[in-house]
Amino acid sequence: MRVPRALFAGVILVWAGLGVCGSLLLERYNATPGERGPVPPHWPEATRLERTPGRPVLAVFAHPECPCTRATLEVLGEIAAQLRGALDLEVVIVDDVADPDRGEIAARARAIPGVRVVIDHDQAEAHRFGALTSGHTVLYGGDGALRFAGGITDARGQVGASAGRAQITALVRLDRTDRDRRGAGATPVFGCELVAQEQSVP
Amino acid sequence: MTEPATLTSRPVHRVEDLFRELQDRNSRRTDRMFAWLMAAQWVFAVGYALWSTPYTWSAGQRFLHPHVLAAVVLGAVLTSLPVALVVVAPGRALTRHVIAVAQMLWSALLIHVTGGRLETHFHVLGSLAFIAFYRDWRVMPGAVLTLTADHFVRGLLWPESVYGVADAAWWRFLEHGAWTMFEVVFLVLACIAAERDRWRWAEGQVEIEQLSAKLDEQRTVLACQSDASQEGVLVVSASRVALSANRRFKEIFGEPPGDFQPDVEALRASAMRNVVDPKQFIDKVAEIYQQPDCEATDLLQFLDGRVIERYTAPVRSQTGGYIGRGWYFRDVTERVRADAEVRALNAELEQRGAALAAANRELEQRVRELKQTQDQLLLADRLSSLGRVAAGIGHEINNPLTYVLGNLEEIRRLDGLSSEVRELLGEAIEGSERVRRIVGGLKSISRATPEQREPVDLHATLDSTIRMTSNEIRHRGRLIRDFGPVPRIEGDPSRMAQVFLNLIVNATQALTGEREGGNFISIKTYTRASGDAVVEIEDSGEGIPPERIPRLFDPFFTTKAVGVGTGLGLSICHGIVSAHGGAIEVESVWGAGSRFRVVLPPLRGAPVVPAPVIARRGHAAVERRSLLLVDDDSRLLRAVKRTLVRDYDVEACEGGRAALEVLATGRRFDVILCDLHMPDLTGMDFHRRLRDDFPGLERTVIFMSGGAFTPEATRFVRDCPNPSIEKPVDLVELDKLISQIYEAARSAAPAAATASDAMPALHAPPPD
Repeated sequence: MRVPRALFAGVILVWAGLGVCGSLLLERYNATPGERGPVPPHWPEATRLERTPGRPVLAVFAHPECPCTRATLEVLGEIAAQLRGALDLEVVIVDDVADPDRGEIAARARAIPGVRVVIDHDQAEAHRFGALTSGHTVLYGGDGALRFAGGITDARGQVGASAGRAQITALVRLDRTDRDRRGAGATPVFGCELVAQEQSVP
Repeated sequence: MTEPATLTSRPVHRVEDLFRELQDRNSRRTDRMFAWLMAAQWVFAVGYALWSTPYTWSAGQRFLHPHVLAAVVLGAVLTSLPVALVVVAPGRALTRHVIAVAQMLWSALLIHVTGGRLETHFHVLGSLAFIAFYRDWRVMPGAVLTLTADHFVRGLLWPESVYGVADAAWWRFLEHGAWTMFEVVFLVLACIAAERDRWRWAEGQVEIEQLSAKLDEQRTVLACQSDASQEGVLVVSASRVALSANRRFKEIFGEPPGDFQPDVEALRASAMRNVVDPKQFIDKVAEIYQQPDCEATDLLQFLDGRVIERYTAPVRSQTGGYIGRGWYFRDVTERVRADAEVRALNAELEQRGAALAAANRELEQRVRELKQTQDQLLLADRLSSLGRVAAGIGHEINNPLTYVLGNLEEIRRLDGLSSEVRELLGEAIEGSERVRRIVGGLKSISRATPEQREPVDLHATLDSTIRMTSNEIRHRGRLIRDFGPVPRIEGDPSRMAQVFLNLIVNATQALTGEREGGNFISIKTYTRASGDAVVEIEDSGEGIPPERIPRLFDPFFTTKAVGVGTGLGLSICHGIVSAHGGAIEVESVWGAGSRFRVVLPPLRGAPVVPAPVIARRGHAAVERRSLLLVDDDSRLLRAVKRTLVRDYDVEACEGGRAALEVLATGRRFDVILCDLHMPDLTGMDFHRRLRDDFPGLERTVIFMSGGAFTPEATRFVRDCPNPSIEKPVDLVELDKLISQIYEAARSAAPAAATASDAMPALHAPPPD
């Protein structure tokens, strides 16, 4: 079957354009971080989250059903394994629904050894720590100062090595060996919106 | 594409065609695989997105996750064109290139959908390998370019999502590209190698095609040759499958010409229906198959009369591998028939050859005999010439000798002779007798007389011979005479006498030593059951050495001292006896004696003559007879007259005319004794005149002859019934002849002929 060359070329160009555009759109979506609120520079006293003085504490805020947070928890598991016992770990399930067992994220979080799961029913903790996007992670040093705030995945649902994870690992090790503080790290957060906002859906 | 270095014998375009065909086939196959793979990837992407990230959340609210949307829409976009191209343009380079690019985009999509999982990155590597299935390195750059461009663009736009850091350098895409290139380099090399292999395969294929074509050609030529052959050919494989059979084979065995029956058993059954002896046929086949290297030839007799020569030999490849067995059949009916004819002709030829050889031998024998006979004839002729000369001399001597001897005898009868005179007279008479014997011998040494044919009384002949030799016998031994009844034979009496004389003298000379009971010579006659007359002369002498017996009858073969014998005697005897239709047999024991047996056929119708009574001279009681004596020699006339006058009334006439005158006076005589050779009127003329002028008187004539015969005289003596007597006249013989003539004339005129028959001729050949 003979197809005119021009038509052929046209079809191919259209197809390529669609493919490229689609891919770019997908990539753009994946690479577009969520909102971040202001994070307190020192450990807030009012929080329900627990902190042992002298020990770093890492808290991850997660939407109970966000698929992208699965990747965050996976990275968290790797960090926990890597820094075994060097810090406290807490996962805060931010939920506006009064169902403590909703979604899979809580269960996955509990499966990580040494992780304490806190259900944030009223989103008070999320607001307190400026967590607007699922996957929002904060690290406070043993002295209660904010060391890091941001995401620990490099894109939506992207597992593996990430800038956030690298910073956290480095900060915790610094915190333990060298008390010299160099300021808090910050990375974009990729995940579902924790707090409903008018412009939350991309 | 890897072009071949050289391709001289193979057509390049054909190799290219094959190469492209193979490539096209492979491309289409790979195209189809990718079409299915694309569809499967789409289904997987959508399913995975639905399972993994069905929704995205905003606090309590959920929305369809963009991954699902991307999987459905973008997946559809990525899948659509490749699948469409596979359908529309399978195997085309463009299709491959589009598929390669699409597959790379699919990798990106899946990586996204699955959250950038490390495992999903292997999809890139797997896809590249899959793309290499095209075995066309040209599709690789497109794929790699797509991948690199993707990284480049994303690295520029969202470096942290690609490299994990926000401030990644712009060239970081090259690092990822390099990793991909690491794999791609091997894949490209593999593709190039595969392409080269494909080209070689195409070359090989073309070569196979060429060989196959050549093989087909050769097979066709072989089949043509095979079909043109007058020999039926069947080739059976090692596993007993018939590989080929030519047209002639089918003709010989009456197979249908078209289809070939590869079933050996069926062929064998068909063959066995044709042959006279199927068992022999099948036994031979079984025997041959027992020995793979066996070569054999035999003949098959067909029921329809044909004779087929069967030859078989193993069929081997050039390297010596056993392929099977060839069976070759040739119709030799005509040849066999021709062979048989040739054999028969040969046999006949041999037979004729043998007969010819026998005939040749016989001929040689005859020639030998002829030569011998010729030699003998030459000898006889020479002797005969000599004899004629001798006879002439003898005749001249005989007449004077007759009256010399007669006169000496007359003188001796005279009374009053002194003893001294008588002694001298005796010596003279003895000398004259000796001369007479010598002359007689000269005459008969080679009797000029040609072969006479007349009835011969063997006893009479023997008697005269014995008489001649009795003196010699007496000195050496005793003579035993044992005559039995024998028939008369037909022949020449003088010749026969010569034979007997020779044998007796030989026997006498053999009696050399003394023996107990004394030496003897036995002469015996008898008749064999066959009717043949036999004369046997035996002596008690020294005998003949056995080695000499075969040469006994050869001319000039003699054992006697020089001067004693000429070596002709027995040869002449043999010739004479053979001329008479008879044979001489010899028996001899060396040191004990010899026996010669002369066997002669009887005269046809001749009665057997009884043993004779020996005649004696003297007929005192008989009346005196008158005798007319006619001769031209007056001294001979006087001498003979003086001798005869005591017993006969003798009237002597000098010449025939004088005698005729006497007769003309009317005087008659009982017997006329007439000389045969007279100058004025010969004995023959005288006889004619008697017959004409005085009929009846001619029967009373007795001729006297000196021995010199003219041919005319010879004929006359043979044909004339009158007897003849040799000079010098033997009185005893003369008495006997006169008595016979007288008696015949007295009894009847016709009886005169009988008288002459009974007359024995007294030729006395000298002993050899």
